[in-house]
Amino acid sequence: MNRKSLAIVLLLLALFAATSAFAADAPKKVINYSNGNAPPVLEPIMNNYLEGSYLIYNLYDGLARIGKDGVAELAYAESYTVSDDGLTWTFKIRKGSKFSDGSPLTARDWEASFKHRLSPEVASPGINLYLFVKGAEAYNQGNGKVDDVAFKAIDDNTLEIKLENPTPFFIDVVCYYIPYKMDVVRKDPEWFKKPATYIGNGAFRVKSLNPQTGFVLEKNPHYYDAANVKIDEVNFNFIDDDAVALEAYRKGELNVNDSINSEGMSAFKDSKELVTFPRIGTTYISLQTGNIKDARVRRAMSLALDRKAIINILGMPYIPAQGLVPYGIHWGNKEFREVAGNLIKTDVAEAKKLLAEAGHPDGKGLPTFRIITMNVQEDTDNAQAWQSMWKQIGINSEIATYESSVYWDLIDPGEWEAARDGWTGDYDDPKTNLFLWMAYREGPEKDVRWYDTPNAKEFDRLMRAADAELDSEKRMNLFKEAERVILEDMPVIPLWHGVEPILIKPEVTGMVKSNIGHVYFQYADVK
Amino acid sequence: MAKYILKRLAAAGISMLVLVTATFFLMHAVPGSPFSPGEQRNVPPKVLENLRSKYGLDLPVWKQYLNYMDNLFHGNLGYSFKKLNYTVNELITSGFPASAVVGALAILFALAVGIPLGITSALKRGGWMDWFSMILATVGISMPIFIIAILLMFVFSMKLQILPIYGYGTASHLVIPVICLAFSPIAYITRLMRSSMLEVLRQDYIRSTRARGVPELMVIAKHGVRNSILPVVTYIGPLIAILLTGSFVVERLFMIPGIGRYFVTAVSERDYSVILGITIFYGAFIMLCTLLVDVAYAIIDPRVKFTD
Repeated sequence: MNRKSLAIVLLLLALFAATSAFAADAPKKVINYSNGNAPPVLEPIMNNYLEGSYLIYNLYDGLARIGKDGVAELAYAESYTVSDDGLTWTFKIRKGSKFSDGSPLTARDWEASFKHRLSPEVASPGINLYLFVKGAEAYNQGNGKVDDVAFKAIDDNTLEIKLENPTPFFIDVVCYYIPYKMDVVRKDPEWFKKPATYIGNGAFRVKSLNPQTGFVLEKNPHYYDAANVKIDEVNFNFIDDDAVALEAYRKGELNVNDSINSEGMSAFKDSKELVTFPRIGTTYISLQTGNIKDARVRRAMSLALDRKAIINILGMPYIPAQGLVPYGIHWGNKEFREVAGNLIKTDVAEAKKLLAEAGHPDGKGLPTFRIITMNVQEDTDNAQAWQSMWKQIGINSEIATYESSVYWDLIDPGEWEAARDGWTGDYDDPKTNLFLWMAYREGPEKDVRWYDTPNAKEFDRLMRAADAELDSEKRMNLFKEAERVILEDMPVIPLWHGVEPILIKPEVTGMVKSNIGHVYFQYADVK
Repeated sequence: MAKYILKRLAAAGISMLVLVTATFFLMHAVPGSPFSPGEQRNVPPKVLENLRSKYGLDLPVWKQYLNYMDNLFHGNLGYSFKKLNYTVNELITSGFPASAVVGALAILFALAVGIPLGITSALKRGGWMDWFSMILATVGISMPIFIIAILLMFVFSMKLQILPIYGYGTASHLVIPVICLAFSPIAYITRLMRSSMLEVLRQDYIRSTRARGVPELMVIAKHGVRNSILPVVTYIGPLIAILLTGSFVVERLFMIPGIGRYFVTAVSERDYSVILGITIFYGAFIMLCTLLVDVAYAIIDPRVKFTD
């Protein structure tokens, strides 16, 4: 190459570099996020795990959605009416709604999607929230017809839903009623494995995916509220090891880290980057009422526990439990917890007195209780704390640890006295935290699992009365009474109410975690 | 030779059958199951029943075994019980490439470092090189891989900030995982090579080759290495199988999308079909590698003959 042509080539190169620098768009707004392990299930219809929901509800929106302030607001439904008996809900679907591939999304798509999810052949474990709908349970369990499931598209923009019971919190529930592109779902069983067929209707859509390492989400241009979504891309990383995620966050490879271990908690304790959101969950100890028959013994076990001390040992910012219903559940405009008051206290002297009244002064005559727990550090530390606190009032116990899959199998047959357990609700209503102890699961004649005492019947009666009650004040009072009855009986010892800690770099604003722990990127911005 | 290979393949087939059967029944004998009612608490019992029958878990174990074997002979490893609607074949084919790339690089790296290191320490016995390789080998054999991984991560990713902490996709992502995986093989290969080289160097034919005036480099490269490399070849067979099928620790720490990660999570989640599928894949791979090593013997060492 002679000198002249070399000069021309260099000139061209320089020109190219200059123009591309000018042509470059505004920098992309990207969130690099991790919430730990890959979700066990990546198929939206089959998902029943929290980890999967984190991803899915950024790709799909329901009739309603979780708004900026964490409270449900209308989304694909622009308005709704409720019949006087509270049973028939009619939603007006936004005209011009589209799936993320630009195809139209009508009331008929919503109806078909809900019915598909309930079909017994699909065998989806994630149908809990669909059982409020008339005919849903019967059809799902093979005792009814699909035509009797009360989802009905009146026309392209009107969807009518009939319920089993008046359900005042139904707007919270329809946040999780999401539509699928049914012609694709039916034709291609592999649809959720490829970005091109992974069609949703949320603020983001799938750009690429790897079931082991994570998803890349991009802004969905067909989203009805796309004008207000500022983030261009979300790298949703699966990182198994919390320590690795913490280092990646420190180094800036992540700007939002949602899998914090106690090391991360203590390192960022005083930092503004550590943000905590309330979570409507309670962690508790389940007691085997068949083995510890006297309610006074069970109450004594609760009184002996110093919850603040336990939480300090674990190093997590939990809130000491004041009942089974956590903060974040509302009674009108107030917190349910504040109206219902604190039902839990610590009082070693009274615990000893109760034990003596029950005929076991200083624990005399009681067998060694078996505590079962999972082989996770937090859970074993937790169990050791109970063990030593119960020892103070004379109750001896031994701890057996199991890996999680064995643990959940053991908890049903009940070869134990105390087991760590917990539950995070699905909607803003006390029922979401209290329904677990109802007898409904196996028909009214059979009590649920290990809660089987004479008072359980009274609890069940109150819960059912609340279900049928239309007046919201009376309904809340029934829940308050139900909670009091069950805690008098103490088949469970509430330990703490959950919080959701998350690390967010200062340049990221507007991150939302809902009261059930789901994370939302659509209101965020990166400076 | 063809006859020998056929015979070996037949034997491998029988071993596989035993392996599959033993794994199947052991797995079912362990307490815990894929769909525990305790874990899936918000799920009505009837739905769990539907789910169990969809995956054939409601059948007696012997029937499940027959169904499984039937599918297996048609090349179908079934659906994962936990990654719902993913087949085991899919999980293996999606995970294997990443495991294989990292594993193959680790093997090449281990050979490229281990063999020369072994030779030089044998030639300069007692010299600083020999001491260095001895220290390296002791460290490599005794230090668990996750400690090496975290040390390397600490130095290169956090202090020097020249390599990424985790991920997969670019060459820089591969550096630390490959070094981690190669560390203990380097140690073994160095020690094996050194001792067999020392053995060979003492042989009469080496002395006579030298006496004939053959240049030292030729003596070592042609006569020394060729005769002393056999133990290393033996070691490489299973090593290939182990490294190519993925390491759990390394894949988990560095978030490499390989099959090693699937395996261990599958065991703790009781994902029966994934456990079996990966065991079969792993077993077949080991048998194939040992067969290849035996064939390789014949090529390297003319004294080895295949007899029936």
